[in-house]
Amino acid sequence: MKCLHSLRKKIILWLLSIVTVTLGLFQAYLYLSLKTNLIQDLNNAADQKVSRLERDLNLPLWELDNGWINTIVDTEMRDEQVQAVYVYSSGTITSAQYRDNSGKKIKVSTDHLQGDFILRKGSIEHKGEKIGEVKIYLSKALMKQRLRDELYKAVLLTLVVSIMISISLEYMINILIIRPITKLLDVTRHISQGEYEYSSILSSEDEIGYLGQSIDEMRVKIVEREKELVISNYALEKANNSLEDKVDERTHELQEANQKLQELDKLKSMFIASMSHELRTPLNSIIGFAGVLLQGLSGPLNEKQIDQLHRVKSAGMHLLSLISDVIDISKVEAGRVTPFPEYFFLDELLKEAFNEIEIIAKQKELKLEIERIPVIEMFTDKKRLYQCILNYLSNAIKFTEKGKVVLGAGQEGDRIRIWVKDTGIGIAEKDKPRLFEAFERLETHLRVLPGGTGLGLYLTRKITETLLQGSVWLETKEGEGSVFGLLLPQKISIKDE
Amino acid sequence: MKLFMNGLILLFLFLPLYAEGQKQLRITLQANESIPIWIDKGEGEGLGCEIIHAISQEMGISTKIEFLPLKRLIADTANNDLGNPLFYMNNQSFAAIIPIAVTYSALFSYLPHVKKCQMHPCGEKHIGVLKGTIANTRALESFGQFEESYSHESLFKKLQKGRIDLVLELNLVGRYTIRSLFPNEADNFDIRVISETASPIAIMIDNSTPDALKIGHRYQEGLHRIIQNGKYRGILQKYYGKKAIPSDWYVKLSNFESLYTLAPLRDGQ
Repeated sequence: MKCLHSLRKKIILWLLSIVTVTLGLFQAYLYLSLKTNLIQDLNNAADQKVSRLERDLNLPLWELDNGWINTIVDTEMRDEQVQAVYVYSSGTITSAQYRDNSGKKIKVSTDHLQGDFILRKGSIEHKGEKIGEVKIYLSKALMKQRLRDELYKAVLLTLVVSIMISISLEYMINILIIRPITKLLDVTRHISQGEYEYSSILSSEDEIGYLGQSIDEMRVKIVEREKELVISNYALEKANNSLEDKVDERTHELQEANQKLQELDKLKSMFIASMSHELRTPLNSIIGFAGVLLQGLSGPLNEKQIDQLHRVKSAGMHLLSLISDVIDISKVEAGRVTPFPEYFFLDELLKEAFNEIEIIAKQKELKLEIERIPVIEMFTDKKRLYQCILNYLSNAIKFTEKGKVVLGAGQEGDRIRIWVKDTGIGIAEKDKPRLFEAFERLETHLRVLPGGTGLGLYLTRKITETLLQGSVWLETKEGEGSVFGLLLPQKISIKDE
Repeated sequence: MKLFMNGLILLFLFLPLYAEGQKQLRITLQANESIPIWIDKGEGEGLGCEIIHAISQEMGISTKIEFLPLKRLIADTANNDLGNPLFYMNNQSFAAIIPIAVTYSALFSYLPHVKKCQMHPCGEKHIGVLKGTIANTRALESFGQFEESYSHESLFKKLQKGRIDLVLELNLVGRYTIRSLFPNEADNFDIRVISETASPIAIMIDNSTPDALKIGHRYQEGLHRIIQNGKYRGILQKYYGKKAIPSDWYVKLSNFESLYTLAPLRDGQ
């Protein structure tokens, strides 16, 4: 109800202010008009009086008839607006009267009047000869008194009208707005408390009446929807119970699957451990003894034996490499490998890789070049970076029949870009997404030529992203060559554990 | 001159109220105040009033004088002789005219202005007269320019101020006015009495008045009585002084008596 009182007060105050201001402005206009007219009237009266005195005093002043002059002055002084009249003849006062503060007319012999008056002077002439002059003072007191009276009337009228209007407005607003809204508020309050039996339909056919109808329609719909809601809630509760059963069932299944995965992970770890130890040991023996045989420490070998032993050693090396890659990938994926950063100069590392791979390039009669590398000091896992660069170089040499392989690097802000460019077979656009995945070896006419595990690029990407905190990139065009690259931070961040 | 001074002498009207069958004759006269001849204050003041009362007392007549307001008559000349001196003569028939005194007009001038030659050039004299006392000022334009005033006081104030050069006024009235207005300057005024302007002050009895002729005779008899018993001379001495009574006074009075007394005048004769 407080807000309604506030609304009523606001409306009444607004309307009252508008009415008061409008009436006030109108009354001010009337007052100013009246003031202007009264001043004009007073000036006109002064002009008329001095003209009349000039005319009427002509003969008496010529006749030097003081009684006559006094009679005229006395007659003029009957007008209460006239404060004083002075008649001069030959520079001296012939007749003069002024009105004192009490309104009493006093005959005087000197002109000493001062104050806020309207003064008019007239010259009295007889047959073209000036015989005297007259001065008349008109008081503004009556005018001011009338203006004050009018002002009081205007203020009083404005107040009375404003009060009458405010009372009327309050009554009308109460009947037309406040009471209907109060009823609607009661109904909405009951509705908010869940009591829907109160109707908000009003008898008036106006906006508030329509509002009441709308609220009542809303009340009916709320009742209907509440019924529907009860039904829906019942169905939902039922479904919820069923869902909980299903969630329990799925949770149980997930727990079982997780348990199986943990077992598999354990098996995988055992497998990797087995690969690491059990497979490497015999392979090292095979490779070692093949080398011993090839060195002729066990006796001379014919060419065919030598060739076969080379094949054995090569296959063993390949298998060892494959096992090493698999072990590396497993460790990286399992997060068991941590980077060992150190400070080093990149150009030295690249030259080292260049030197190591140069002999293979020469075997394929490929031109291996290294671009002018700026001196960049890096802080990263040097061994793993070296592994990645070798992977890229060996890959490039593998898939390049002729032309050249170029190794390059550059600095881009706090990042280092390293690339290996070849003039090899290039890679089709459709194959690019699969290139850095595990065991992916693309179909090429060179497939049979290079040996490989299909894990090199995958391993490179994993090392780059996981350990070196960088990314791999590729630019290639089928049949024209490829550029494989690394984008690495100059310094890797080390997590505190 | 006599012609235009008629208005001055006929100031006194007669309007008797005669009560038939009463022992004492009661007469009411009308006059215009003209100090010091007719004075409207106190009983019997003024030369004319005193003579009338002396006659009345002598003859046992109760005479009352009513004064007509001079200024009002001057302002509205439709029903009086002011501004139209022959009004009564032309519009009224009189049963009797009884001269009781003589008046003389005089020309008054203010000597300081005369000496300083501040007056208007000769031939253009501005002569002030009381309004209505001269019937036809145009006829007198050769004497100067006549300017009428509304009161004796105005006439002499204007003269003293230099607004007019001369005042033509009854000798007695002019002297009295000068003494009243300028008691310290009386000697500065030059007075030239014009003996030819002698005019009667008369009791004029309207033709419609019952027993007009009889009443006229009684007043005339009374006049003769007071002349005989010296009351008349005493009154004259009071106003003129013992040695200043005009020498031809009684001759003029006798002439006027012969001319008017009891001779009914008709049509302004």
